Amino acid sequence: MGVNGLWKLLEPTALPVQLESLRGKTLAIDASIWIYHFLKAMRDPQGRVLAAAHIVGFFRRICKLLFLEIRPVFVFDGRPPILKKLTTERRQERRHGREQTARATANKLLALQLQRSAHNAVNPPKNTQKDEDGGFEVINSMPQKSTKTSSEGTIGSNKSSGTGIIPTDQYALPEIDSINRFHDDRFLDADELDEYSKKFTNQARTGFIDDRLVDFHSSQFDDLPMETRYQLLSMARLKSRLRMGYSADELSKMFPNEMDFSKFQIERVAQRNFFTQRLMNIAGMEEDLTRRVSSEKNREYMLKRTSAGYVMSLNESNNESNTGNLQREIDGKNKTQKNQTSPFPSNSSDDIVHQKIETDEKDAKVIPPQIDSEVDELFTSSDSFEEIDLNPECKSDSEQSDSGEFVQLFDTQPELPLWFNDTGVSAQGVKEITENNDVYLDNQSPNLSRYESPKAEHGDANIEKLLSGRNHYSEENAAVELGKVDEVHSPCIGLSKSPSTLDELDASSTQAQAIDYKDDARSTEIEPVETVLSDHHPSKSRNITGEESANNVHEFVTVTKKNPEPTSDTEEMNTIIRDPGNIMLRKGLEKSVLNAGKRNSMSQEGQTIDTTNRAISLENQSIPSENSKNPLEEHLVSESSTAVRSNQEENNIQENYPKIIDNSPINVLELPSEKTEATDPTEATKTTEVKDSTEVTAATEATEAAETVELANEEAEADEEQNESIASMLIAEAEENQRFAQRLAENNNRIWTSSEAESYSKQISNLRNQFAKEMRDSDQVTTEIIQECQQLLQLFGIPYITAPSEAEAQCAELRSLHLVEGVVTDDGDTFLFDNDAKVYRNMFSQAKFVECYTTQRIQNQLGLDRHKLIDLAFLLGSDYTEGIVGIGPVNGVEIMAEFDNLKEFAQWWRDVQLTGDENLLNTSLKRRIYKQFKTKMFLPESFPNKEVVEAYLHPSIDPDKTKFVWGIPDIDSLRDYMLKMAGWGIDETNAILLPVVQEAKRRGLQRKMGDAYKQSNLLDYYQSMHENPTIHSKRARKATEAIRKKPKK
Amino acid sequence: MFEAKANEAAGFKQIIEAIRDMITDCNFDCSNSGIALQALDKSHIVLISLLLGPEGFNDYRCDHAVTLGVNMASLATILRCGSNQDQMTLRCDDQPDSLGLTFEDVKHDRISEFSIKLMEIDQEYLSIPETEYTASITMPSADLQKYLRDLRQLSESVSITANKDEVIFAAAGDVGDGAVHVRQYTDSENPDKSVSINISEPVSLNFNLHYFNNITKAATLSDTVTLQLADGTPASIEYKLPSGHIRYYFAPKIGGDDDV
Repeated sequence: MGVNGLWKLLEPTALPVQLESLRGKTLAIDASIWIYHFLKAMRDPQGRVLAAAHIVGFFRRICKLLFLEIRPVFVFDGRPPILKKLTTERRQERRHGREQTARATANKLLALQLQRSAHNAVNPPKNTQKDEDGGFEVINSMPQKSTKTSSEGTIGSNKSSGTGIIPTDQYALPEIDSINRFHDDRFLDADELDEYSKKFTNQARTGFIDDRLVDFHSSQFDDLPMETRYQLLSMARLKSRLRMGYSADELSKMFPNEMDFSKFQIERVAQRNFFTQRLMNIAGMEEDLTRRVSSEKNREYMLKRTSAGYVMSLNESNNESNTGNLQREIDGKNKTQKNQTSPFPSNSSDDIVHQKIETDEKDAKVIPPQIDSEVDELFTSSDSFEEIDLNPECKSDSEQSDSGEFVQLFDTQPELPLWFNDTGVSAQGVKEITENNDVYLDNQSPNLSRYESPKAEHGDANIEKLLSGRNHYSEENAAVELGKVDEVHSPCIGLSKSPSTLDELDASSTQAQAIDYKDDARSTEIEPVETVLSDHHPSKSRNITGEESANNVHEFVTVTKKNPEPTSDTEEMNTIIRDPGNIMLRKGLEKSVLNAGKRNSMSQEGQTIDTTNRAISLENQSIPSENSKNPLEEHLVSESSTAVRSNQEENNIQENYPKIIDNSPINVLELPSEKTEATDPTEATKTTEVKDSTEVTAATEATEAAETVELANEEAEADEEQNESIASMLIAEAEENQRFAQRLAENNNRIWTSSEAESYSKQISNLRNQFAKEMRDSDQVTTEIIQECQQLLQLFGIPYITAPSEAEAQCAELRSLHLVEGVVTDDGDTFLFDNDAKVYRNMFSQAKFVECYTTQRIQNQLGLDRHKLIDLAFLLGSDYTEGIVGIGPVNGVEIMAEFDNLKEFAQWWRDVQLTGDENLLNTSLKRRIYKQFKTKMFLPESFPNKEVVEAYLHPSIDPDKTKFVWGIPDIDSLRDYMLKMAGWGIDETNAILLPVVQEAKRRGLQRKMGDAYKQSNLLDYYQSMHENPTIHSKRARKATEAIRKKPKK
Repeated sequence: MFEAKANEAAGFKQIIEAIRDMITDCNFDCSNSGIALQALDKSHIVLISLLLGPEGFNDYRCDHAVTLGVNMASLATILRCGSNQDQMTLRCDDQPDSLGLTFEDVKHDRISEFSIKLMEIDQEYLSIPETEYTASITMPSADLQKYLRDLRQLSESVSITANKDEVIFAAAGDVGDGAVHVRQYTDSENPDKSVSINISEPVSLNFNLHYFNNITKAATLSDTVTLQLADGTPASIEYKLPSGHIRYYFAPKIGGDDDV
């Protein structure tokens, strides 16, 4: 913008002016510069543009101007002149380059993060403070464990549980690294909380609610008063009609593919439907649509309406304590139907929310199958995963075993309807796993009746027990998942799915292990299985409660709340299951050296841990029910993370891991890609291919993943860019591969020095800054932004014009037409357009004084008039000329001082360059310039370009002399506008707007009193004696003196 | 070392009271030639130029010129602690960070000491060119204050027209119009009551009465005031002090073609 480096030269001539002294002045404002500034400056910490930054910025500044009684005239840029277009094109080229570098930086960042997390994963760090990439936020993984389990958390907590050190106190919180405090709404001090709640109530009152912050599925939401619920829902519903504040442009960028956009729209429709239904429900409009469809003895099939659609339920009247409802999802999502053919009982016959949660849970499970056949394998693996976990569990408990009790467990609760949510799928999975294992064959034909009557199977072989044990475990697992789903009703539903998907992911990775040591383990497994639950005997009924609660999170919570003891027991059980599981998984990592002896020792180890943990959990019996979920989550978390790691080490397909990290923090939308990813390692291990082939799959995978990321990432990209990013990803992966191989070759005990860690984090923060900067430089002004600003101006009643071409030129013209008294701009071009410019700069900075520049002062102090400034622009570069590389303001003025005009300079240069004539180098400056630019500077014959001079001297302007008229701000419309565009509540808008309007009113009254005169200002008469800071550069000072002294022609 | 001792605190107190409404902070420049002050009001409409010559003090000593940046409100607060009859001494170092004020009640042999913290004030100084004013009116300061106070009831601004041998202060408002005509008048017994008008060219200027009333608060400092006008420049309003003066440069209201 403007002439490069010109301000530096002009600054000493600035006349400080107090803002108040501008009272009553009419000033032309270069609006384009403003927009540009807001776009550059108003950023969130991640470097993204704040929504409506320009609106908010304009609003604030206009209010300030009006309050100061300044009468602004806004001038927008029109069509840029051709000369400028050329320069702009060059600029854009540069910007394009930046976009790419921004991408590259992001990739670098990712690679570094991966390296670091990989290091962390292998070497347990002292604390769990961890940076996450993607969102470029620092997330403390610990609080996440307890409150929210996003995929980041899963990976983050990997370190504590999955890496070989089992903390003696699992509730011990890690020390928090104070430097990277992640701002989290959940951790607020009193003041922040106050502010937050105020903001929220304000939002609620104005009805402008960010529905991303509200989870309508949560039980907390149900606890809200009906009034509030109604309000929130109706707002959310209304809002779901809008484009979510995205402009058509943005949307088209987000969804380069029409298909994606359609999907997005369908999602929105579904969401809207959900809101509508909830709304109707609250309004009492929903009738009880439950009706019996058919019935037989002891059974009733009911068609029910739920929030998710219609549900077929089966009431079994023979079970009084637990209504074992078999439900069939027949809602719009056919996928559900396809995969959920396996029946499952549900107690939530009446509660829609619970069913919804279930549906979520189902969705989480169901989405993968819907993708393609690969996903079947995913499920397969998820089941095998459960088996794996079961096995160690069995072993660890083997010593205290008592097979009879196991049976007893089921004997005591024979009628207990067990929930086999994913029986159908598990059967599939089992099919694969049990190819060489007859034990599992029984499972192959998933039979509803069989699961309904588990008792019948107790009589069977141990295998059956193993099976039931497995089922039991899977229930627990499900409970965990549900607990999580419930727990995670934080910002977005999508996130809540992530734990379960991750779970599946882990599962898939562990499948490999399962296959591998199945043979060894199988022989020893069966016996222990009998005893798995033996030591849970005292708490078996509670376990069962837990199992039931698996069906229904709500119930789970209430039950545990009611009865703290079972809670702790469930907890206990989970820890028991978990620890050996972990060990087992860890063993899996070392599976190359896996043998029976080790397993034995390991199981002993597990036992001891088991007892300690039990002691702990007993101590914690009184811990509220929420805590009981923590271990569950940890359980999942640890498993998944361990799985992820084992996966890495087993397979040489490291990209799986990077991708997980890559995808998870960024967007929930990308989860599918994770899943597809997840299947790949499984494939790879199955086929046990050599590295070469995996490399190939890696490449294809990377492409796929990159594409998914791309789509989800709202960044439409050209193919080349994609390729580039893929390439860099692959490079990162290759590095990762190498590193992993190296590390494996060495020893797992290698200690990662803290200095390394530091250097990583340093690099990461550096890259982050760079990224933010590059993001900033790659955004540009759009016509929409301009239109929105103009709309705002209209509401304020402020005149604005769009210049024929350059806003600065039009500002200068307005001044020469005496329509305005000065120009507010940060663009030095104005001096080149105006013979007698008066520019106010830094009007809105914190400084006490506004800087006032006038052509007159510049001429007096620096000897630079308009023509000289234009000449200078040729040397320094401006909107119209590229300038000469290497010539800055100092060199520039020196040349100006040395030569009468640029033509002379150009002539001399061509002469001296061609002839090298020493005589021409008669001054020190000439010699220096010659030395410095001998081979660098080539002046074309056209230099200085007359067109450019002409463009500055006679810019295309609008010579209309019509006087400007100022209106009165339309307060109501402004409030609406600010609410609509910037999400400002009435109070927020009023706080700024009202004082301004009142002041204007008061003034208006005064004006009516017939005061026809305007107060003048002493500065109009007297020169300030303000001592200007002298020009810093001695050379420049000397040069300007020389220019000043030069006789005028 | 700077030290200035005045016989009575009253004079200095009145000066500060007269100007404190218009400026919040300002620099006192103390040198051999006395204490000088130049301050612009916030909206740059009035410039106050004050000079207190060394003769005005019983004792005046200034080894090095010092600039004392003072908050007017604080200074006024401290000045209020001394009685009008007290001897007042201003004192500070060559590189002062505070200004000491001592009030001495000679009669009761009582001394009270205060000090005020100084501050760095980034202040604008205007160079005021030699101006040839075309109209000059010297009149009793109390009269001017009264006229303007009366006219303030009618309007926000006053027009001062100097024509031939009379000066008209006129104001027009919703309530009605008002004008005060002042003519040359000589009171030989009481020269301070005389009005002298000296007009070389007729001139008419408009001024904001709010600011003008603030200016005329200085009427307590001097019995007479000299008002100087010229077209297209700020008015100069000067009050003579026993040694030195306080002078206001007052930007007029201009225009008329503008619809404001």
